[in-house]
Amino acid sequence: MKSNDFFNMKRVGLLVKHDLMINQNKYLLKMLVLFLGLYASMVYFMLSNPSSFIIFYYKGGHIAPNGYAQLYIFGLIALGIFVGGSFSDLGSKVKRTSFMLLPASTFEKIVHPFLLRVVLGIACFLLFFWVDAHLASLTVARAPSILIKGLVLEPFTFAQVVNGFGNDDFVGFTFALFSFGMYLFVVPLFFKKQALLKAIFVFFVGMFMYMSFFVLLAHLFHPGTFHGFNFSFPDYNIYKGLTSIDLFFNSIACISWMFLLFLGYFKLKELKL
Amino acid sequence: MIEIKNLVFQYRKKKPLFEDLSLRMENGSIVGLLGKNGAGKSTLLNLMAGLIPLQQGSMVVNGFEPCKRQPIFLADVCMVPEEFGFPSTSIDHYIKATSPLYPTFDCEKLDRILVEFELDRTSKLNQLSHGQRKKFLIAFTLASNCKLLILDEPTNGLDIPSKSLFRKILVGSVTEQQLVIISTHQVKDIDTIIDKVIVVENGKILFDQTMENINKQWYFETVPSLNGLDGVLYHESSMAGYKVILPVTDERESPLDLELLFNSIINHSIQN
Repeated sequence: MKSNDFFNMKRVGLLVKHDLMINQNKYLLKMLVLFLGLYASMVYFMLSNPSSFIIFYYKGGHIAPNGYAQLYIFGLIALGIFVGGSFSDLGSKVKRTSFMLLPASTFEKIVHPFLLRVVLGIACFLLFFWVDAHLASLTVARAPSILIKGLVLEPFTFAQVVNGFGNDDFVGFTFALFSFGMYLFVVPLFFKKQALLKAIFVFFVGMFMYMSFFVLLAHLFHPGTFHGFNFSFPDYNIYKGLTSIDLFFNSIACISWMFLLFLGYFKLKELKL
Repeated sequence: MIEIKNLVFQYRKKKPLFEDLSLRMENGSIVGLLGKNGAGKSTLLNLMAGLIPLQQGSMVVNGFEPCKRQPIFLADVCMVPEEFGFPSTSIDHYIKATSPLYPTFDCEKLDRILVEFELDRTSKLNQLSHGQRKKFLIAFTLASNCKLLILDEPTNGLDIPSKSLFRKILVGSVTEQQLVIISTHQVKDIDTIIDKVIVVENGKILFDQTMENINKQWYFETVPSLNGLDGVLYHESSMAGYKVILPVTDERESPLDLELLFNSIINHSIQN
């Protein structure tokens, strides 16, 4: 296969332009919902629990609040749903025909929504998060719950999100959410109707079965030690606070998105009416 | 150019649709693909467009294997499917978004066809009637200038003036480099424009002849009575008496009655 048959930047550009022009109203509406939803959530959480957004300084250090980190996770889940809609139209025979007839390679047809929904989506999300955090701070700065307690909301920086996770967990969380986003990006290709809902359902069923498998092993090899699902993984320190469980879950979080992208590519390649 | 050799195709849990089907179509012609319901016309078109993978045999379209869906191949194939849909946008917006994907797209040609079809570029696609949307899809497909144009039931939903306009526009816009395949049940809509008739039946090509060959071999006529007529190959009663197919024995030619020809082929009165 010639490289031009596999990937051509001009064609990808044309696909992105085509998608943006055709779906511009849908995308604008979704971005608006994300922007306003983030803003409303931030204002609500800042008013109801302002201490989660305040840095408490004490002699020799400070306590990082985790309010932004929680909102960051909620926002990324919303973005995941947007990403998960990339191929959800392909359940319709009419739209599948149009998609398959688009003059582009399979790789380009997976790269284009990746660029548009994942890369551009993350960029927009980070921008909205930053703007919304500042707007929300300004909005609630003179609210009674803030003034009475004498709290001062510091200007938002992304360092507050990172610190809210704790530096060690941020990378793992980000990759885990990214991998989940890739799961939502790819797995709807396997379903014809209600693809996104089915993908989410399968995820939770899969997680439950995965946990059940470990519970079964625990009961088989350590009978009488545990009751039902009430057990814990025995872990050990590998390197400077990195435990075996951290390594296990972080490895899955960091690698699974690559596997999922390959899976999506091959599923798209064998797509048929 | 399309070359199909020994094609075998079967949907899961169903009897084989095509068994050892072979076929060749040259560019520069308009081919009428006919067959009864369920004969596999749409499946054959979908296979040609690369929408369904090949199971056995070989298929080459313009030098490519359709099921590989290479971008250069797809850029030279445009299809009017039986079922189609459009986004909720204007004709103009759709053209600006989609036409750059087809390197040979001719915007001036599209404008001419839109004028003939009385379609306004500012119209919202989702506010048009089914027939108007079909006309736009036909206009877009013809303006794509792709080497292979696949039209599956193109006249379904078109009113009578639009059907004759469709025939006029199609004949006027197809070049020697293009191959147009029209699959339809409404054979009267295309009998004056096709260069070749292919009939699919029971998984095989039952009939594959050019119009030139048909005119050389068969004569179509309406007669008040069958009495005194020798060598009638096929006949059907009609309001004016009988429609008959006779072998050509001299230099005379007749206009093609495609419906009569199709019925005679299906009834095995006329063979390839």
